Amino acid sequence: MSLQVEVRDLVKSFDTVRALDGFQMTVPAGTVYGLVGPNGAGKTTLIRHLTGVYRQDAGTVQIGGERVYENPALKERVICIPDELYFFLQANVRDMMRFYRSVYPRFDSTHFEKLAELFRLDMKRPVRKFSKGMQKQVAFWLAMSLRPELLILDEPVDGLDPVMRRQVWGVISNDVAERGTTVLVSSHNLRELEDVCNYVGIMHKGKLLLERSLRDMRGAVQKLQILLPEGGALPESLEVLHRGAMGRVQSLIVRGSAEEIAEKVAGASPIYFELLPMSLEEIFIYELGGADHAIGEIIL
Amino acid sequence: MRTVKSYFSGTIFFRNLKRYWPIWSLYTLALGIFVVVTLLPIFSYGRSHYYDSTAYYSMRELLLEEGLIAGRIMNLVFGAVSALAVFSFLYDFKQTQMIHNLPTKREGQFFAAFASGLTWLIGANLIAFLLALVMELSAGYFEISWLLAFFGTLCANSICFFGIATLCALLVGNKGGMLLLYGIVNFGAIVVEALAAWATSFFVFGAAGLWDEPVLAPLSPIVQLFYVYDNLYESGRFLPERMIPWLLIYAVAGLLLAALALLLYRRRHLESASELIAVKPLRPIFRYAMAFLASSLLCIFLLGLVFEYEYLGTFMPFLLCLLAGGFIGYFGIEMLIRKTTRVFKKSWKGFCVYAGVMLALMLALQFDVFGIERYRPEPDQITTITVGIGYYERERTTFADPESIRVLRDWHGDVIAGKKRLKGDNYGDLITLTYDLNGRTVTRKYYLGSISDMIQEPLLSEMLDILDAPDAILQRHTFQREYTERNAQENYIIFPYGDNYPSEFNLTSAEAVRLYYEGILPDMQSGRIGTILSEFYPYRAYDASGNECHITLYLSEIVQGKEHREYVSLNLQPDSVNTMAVLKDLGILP
Repeated sequence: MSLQVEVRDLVKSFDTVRALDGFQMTVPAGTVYGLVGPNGAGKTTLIRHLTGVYRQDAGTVQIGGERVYENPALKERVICIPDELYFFLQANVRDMMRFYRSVYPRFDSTHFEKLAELFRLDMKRPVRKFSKGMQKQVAFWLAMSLRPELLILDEPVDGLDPVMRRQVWGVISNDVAERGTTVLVSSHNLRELEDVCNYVGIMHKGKLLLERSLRDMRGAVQKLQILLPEGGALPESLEVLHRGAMGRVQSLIVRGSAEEIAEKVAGASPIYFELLPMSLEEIFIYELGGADHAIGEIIL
Repeated sequence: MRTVKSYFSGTIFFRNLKRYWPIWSLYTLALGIFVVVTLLPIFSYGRSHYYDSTAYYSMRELLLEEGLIAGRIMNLVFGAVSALAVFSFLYDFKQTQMIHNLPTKREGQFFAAFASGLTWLIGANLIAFLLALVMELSAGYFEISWLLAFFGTLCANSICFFGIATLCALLVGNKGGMLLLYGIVNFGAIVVEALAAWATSFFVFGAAGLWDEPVLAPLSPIVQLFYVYDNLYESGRFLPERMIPWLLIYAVAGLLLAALALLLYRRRHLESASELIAVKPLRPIFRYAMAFLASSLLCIFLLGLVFEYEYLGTFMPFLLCLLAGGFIGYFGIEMLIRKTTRVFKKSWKGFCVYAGVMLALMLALQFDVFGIERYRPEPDQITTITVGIGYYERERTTFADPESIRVLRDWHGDVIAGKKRLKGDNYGDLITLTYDLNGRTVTRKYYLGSISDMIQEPLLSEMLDILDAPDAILQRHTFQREYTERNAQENYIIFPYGDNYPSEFNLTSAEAVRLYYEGILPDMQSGRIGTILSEFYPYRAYDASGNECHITLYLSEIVQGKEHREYVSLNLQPDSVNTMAVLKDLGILP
């Protein structure tokens, strides 16, 4: 019921601009994968390849082991909510529902009616007369009713109020839990994805800089505060990524698991030692080591 | 997995039918109005009316005849509008993305869009056919084959123009570009040929008639069908079957172009939505086409209209207009393609190529590099030579005998050799020579100042002698039909006498037949009326006091319900004794 996404050596140019430059990515089946990158990183271009809208100049794009371009059978299972939505002129929610129902055999009318209680939108009003946020809700409503195996969301919660954001993520989380749906979410804001993703990829200038599961990532870098006795020194085996101090108390960002670090630090007999929780933003900052100042844009 | 659904989206098909109903309705309404207006007279001409015997034939012909024109023009317009509507999803990226996210192959989207457009056009044609059927049945006239021919004509036009528009729609990325390209495809070849011939006529002596038979007309269906239409009548008979091959050719061409559009669509990069030209290799063609079009328009506007032809035949003003127009057209379209005004740095080389080609062409014309001016067919190649005098060439005479051909060819050589001496401006007297070279036609037109002033030129004089021989006069002016008192109808004579106001006299059949057979014809047989100079200089004719006396005699006959009218238009000469005698006898001349 869920699909894995494999992108290898993907290249796409627009005139003189190389939007995707040998892009690599693996989205494991059943995960919620956050694709983060500053504006112009190539996220939307990538998504348009994943939905078979664009044809690549080079490389492969496979979903569930199949080529996605011109593959209607696969596209029935892949649903995308793009950054720019389109609804037919004068069509209301029910018209759009009928349209999608006739195109997608997997359309679940019962689920559609069930979601109506959540979204509470006027089904007779032309969708184009809705606000941007309401149009986004319609898109979610229809997309979730299509029962996708891969859901691709491009800047999904732009325009949604905080309450509706929570509700939408709730619906998606339920779908992931119940049906094992794979979700790929793109955003330029890492903070937004921190709570919902279990995989994250960072994209910059058409390339993937980093791709990890959050669990691995959180386990791989630690933040600690330590007070050493007079004349004491940190063990040399600690791989310190960043060092700060306030008085004699040192703040360190160290690569390694919590257990491993605690073991190493214990050898230095610290007066005080504490491992502190790290936000995803901090992890990325220290992992990437400031690959480019633009990376800061996605975190700060 | 390949399914029928993958190759045809019923949802998109029906959605298009529903979504674009105003366009289809408008086309249906226009056709409906056309049918009603065309066929309404059948209710007016009752069986007691004198036209009754012919009404049946006339109406069925009228519908088809008018349908050939109206169907063509309406489909030219609605073919484009329909294609623009059903393929509009390619021009707005939001819509492009939404449609291409759907689980349908591109073939499915294409066939659904194409079928929806064509279904409505043909559906409207069917409604027009049924409406015509009902009207004809109501009036008691009915012949299904003619109505089916009318329906077939409309459908062929629909397929042709919708097919062309479909290809155009797939080549561009926005609506403006589509309409521009559609215009170029439909009229480009013929306009380029016409403008090239027009420009050539000012620089190449004798080349004024190069465009009389445009060789590129078949590339422009709307124009070619008008040419074919003009030849549907022969000896008064309506021959619609002559249109069938062309309609079939263009309908098949429309389908082939639509197939080509599908192939292009399969390879189309969707990011081209909103760009002027979606297919990159087409961009240079577009640039140069627009440059040439702008050059031509500037030449016409500036040299033709503002300076009133004063500089049209002069090298530098013409070249400057070509280059200035080309500059505007080339960089203007480049700005639209690139969506920026900063195009000069990147595109100047392309414009230099255009400017170089224009300069080379102008020099080639000026110095007759192609040998158009010098060319004179060899005697053994010539089957006939037709001589036309005047702008409208009403006085055309064809000669096939070797002696006449020798005289005319020699005169042609004399004109070529004496270009500087003989060449007049475009308001001078025009003499046209048309060589038939075993089926191939070569035409040269010469504006020669005033023929009357050149009458002493030995070769011109010799040529006029053969043109004014009785056989030549009869060839120019004899009626094609044999008229008698019984078959002649609606006869009258327009007779301006002594002033510029024409008088019209109605003649009885017997009077009209007598005037022609006892007056005009014997005078023509004697070379006493219808001579070239008398036609050109009527003030030299008729009487010593300088009175102009021009007569136009109309005779007509009804054959198979269709009126066939002929006329002869001549100036009386002082020696047109037989004609003047009959006119006096009829009381028309004092």
